[in-house]
Amino acid sequence: MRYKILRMAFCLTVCLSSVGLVLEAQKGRPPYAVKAGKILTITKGVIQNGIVLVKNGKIEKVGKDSDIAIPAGYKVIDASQHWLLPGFVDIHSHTGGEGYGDINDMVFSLNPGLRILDTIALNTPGLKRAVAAGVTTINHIPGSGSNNGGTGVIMKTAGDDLDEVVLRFPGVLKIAQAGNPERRWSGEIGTGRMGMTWHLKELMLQIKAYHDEWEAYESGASKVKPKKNVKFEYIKEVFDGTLPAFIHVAWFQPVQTVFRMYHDELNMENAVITHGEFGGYQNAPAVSTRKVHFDCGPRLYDFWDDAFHGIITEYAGAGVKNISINTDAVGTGQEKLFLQAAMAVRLGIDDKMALEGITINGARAFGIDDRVGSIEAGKDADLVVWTGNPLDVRSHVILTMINGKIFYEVSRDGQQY
Amino acid sequence: MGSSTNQKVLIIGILVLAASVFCLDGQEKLLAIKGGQIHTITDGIIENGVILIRDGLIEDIGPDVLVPSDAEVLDHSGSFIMPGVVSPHSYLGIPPPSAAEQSAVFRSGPAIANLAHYPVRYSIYPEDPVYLMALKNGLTTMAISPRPGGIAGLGAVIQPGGERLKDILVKEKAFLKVNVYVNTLFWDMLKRALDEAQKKIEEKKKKAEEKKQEKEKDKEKKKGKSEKEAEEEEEEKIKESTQILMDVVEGRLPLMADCYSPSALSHLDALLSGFPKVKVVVVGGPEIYRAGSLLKEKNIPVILSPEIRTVIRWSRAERTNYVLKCQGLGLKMAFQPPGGIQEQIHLFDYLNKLALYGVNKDVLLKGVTIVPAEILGMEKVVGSLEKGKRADLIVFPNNPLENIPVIENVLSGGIYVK
Repeated sequence: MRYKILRMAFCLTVCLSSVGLVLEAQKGRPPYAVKAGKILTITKGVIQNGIVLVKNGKIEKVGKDSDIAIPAGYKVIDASQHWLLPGFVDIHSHTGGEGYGDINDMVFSLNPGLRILDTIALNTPGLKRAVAAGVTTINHIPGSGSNNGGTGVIMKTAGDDLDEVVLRFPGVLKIAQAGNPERRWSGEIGTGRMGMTWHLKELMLQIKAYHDEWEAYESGASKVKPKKNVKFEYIKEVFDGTLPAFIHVAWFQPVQTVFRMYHDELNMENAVITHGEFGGYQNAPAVSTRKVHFDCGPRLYDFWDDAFHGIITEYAGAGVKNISINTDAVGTGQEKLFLQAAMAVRLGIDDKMALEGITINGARAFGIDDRVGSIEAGKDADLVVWTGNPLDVRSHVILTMINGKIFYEVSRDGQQY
Repeated sequence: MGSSTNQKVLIIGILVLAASVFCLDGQEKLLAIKGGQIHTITDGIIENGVILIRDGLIEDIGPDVLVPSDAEVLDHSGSFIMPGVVSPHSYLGIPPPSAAEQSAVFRSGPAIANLAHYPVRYSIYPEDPVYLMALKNGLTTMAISPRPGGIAGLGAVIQPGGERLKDILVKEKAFLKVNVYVNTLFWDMLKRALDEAQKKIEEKKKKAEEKKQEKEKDKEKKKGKSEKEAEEEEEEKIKESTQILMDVVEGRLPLMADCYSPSALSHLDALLSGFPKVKVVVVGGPEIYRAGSLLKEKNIPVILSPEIRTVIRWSRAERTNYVLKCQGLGLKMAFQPPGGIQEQIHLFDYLNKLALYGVNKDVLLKGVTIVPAEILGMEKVVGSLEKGKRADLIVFPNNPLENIPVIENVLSGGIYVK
């Protein structure tokens, strides 16, 4: 008991001190005034000839240059010939660690205790590529080799240390419903679709029972203090909506299983369908009537009737609103998020939907839209200067700022993409 | 009166039927394509020209081609037209090795597998949608390579669009594919295989000479039939894989060597020092330019994967695009469209980016057309827009290396596929 209290106190101190350190680090950063020819705020329209003021790692003010006076002491970044966009958000990525070996532990089909947090390596080339291509927030997750690979982390792609980089842990509960687990088909449970559905449902019901027990105890409805279970301790929030269930899924039937099981039966409104291709789009009308987020990529099209069909085009056409676009890096290079969006446009959606798909929509799905995904006062200063429209392959990044600090500058680091 | 009307109806009916039969087979049509800017690749740019297509081949091309009255005119004036892309190397439609194959091939060491006699054509399924997708992405001719193994097998060339293998297969023995491992066991395996081939060649030569002398000795004596048969039988005794390696050693069949790293290339070069006739083509990784002097000296063409990346990771001093590096060294380059079908759609995006980095646009266009055609020995059939060549074209609304590249149309053998 005493040990437990000590441990909790220790954890609390570490947490608080790290938060303190982050703020301290960001406070020490010089304030900036970014002058841009065109600001795509994403949520508040386009500002021609605008200024963004940055202080203590946050966006202080956004407006037309005629309305904002640059205060003394602010370093001016002159991008008046260029475009300014919020840092891109990729909600399906595996680039935070050093390699594939780190992301899949496949002895058991369910691994609710595993944390990708423990494998993050800030020096990995994947993260450097992300920064050089304007991707500033990723959902770094375990692979889909097992039905439940563990928990992911929502993180920035650069920062002074791990504490500053981690935006939220646990970020998501990672689930793989069909697809990869089937590839190692061996007859063991969890590799066929009946087995994996049963397995995952059993896991979800266990988490729910655990969540409900604690909720009853904490609200006073029950006097019996539940026993702690380390496997479920930090994922029980998947049942109060704060922790998304991030579900790797494709094909018609598994996508159907996802919304019927997680949304309809378990009453979860935080399920995210990621991938959703290979005929999964045929569920789009059903998905559109439910609170389920759709995250598309890296495959953006299916091929049928001798023609390419944009998967996002199909989902959006059926009325699905919140759609994001991913790279599934390292599957597709982390730097190619802007190309993914450009391709989605070529396959039939408009620029606005594509840009929202790599910024605010993913942020909304995860409830981190108060921090990232658009250029608004009060949000994290994750800003990227582009030579022009990022949906044009000929454009490239000039400068990337994360939490108010410049991590990439084309003049210093050379053009990478 | 009545009977003549009937006759007329009959004649018209026959004509309509005949016409419809001809129309069903698109190749019989005479097509005239009007283009704004026709990039012939080998003979400059034709402004506002015409390409006349008959039976799937280019019958005439130029600025002042007379369009026959029976030709169907397709107006692409204002558009940018170039030959269809020739992919010099790909695994398109070839499944990755299954778990069973992996344990058999990889665990026992893929480096030492000699599968020279394995023809990749047996793994090609014409109905695989990836081929139609590739076609719509502008790839009208493509090399298909076998995947695993030190000596992986015989690569083939296909032109998708047909229903059966024989309809799409245009060359079943295009090259011998080798995956170069910097590894002593691989060295040993390949050296033995080449030595054996060399030995057989010498034996064959010797025998031929002996026979010649014998013939001269007793010109009067007629050879018995049984002797001839015995000779043929003896030839058959040479293993199929050795036969293929003999072709490689004598330079009749190109050796396509996957040398991802420069060290793999020098490894291979040392190995081939006793075999001067071998025609090598290198499939190189992003750092292959480090072996550039070797590639230049031996005049070895290199197949690169275009990427949007500029930076070479290891050296800060050498921060430039690797294609630009190879161009600077004056290497002969062909570009391999991205392997994954998901990325293949980006081929021209990548080329566009390379042009922005400073790679010569002419080099880029040649690298996806005539250079790969030469590598595959198909330069008389595809790779440029010339009289007599196959009518494979890509139509863009404007120059794909200067604008967002969106393919408007693709013609394969004179037939629209997009």
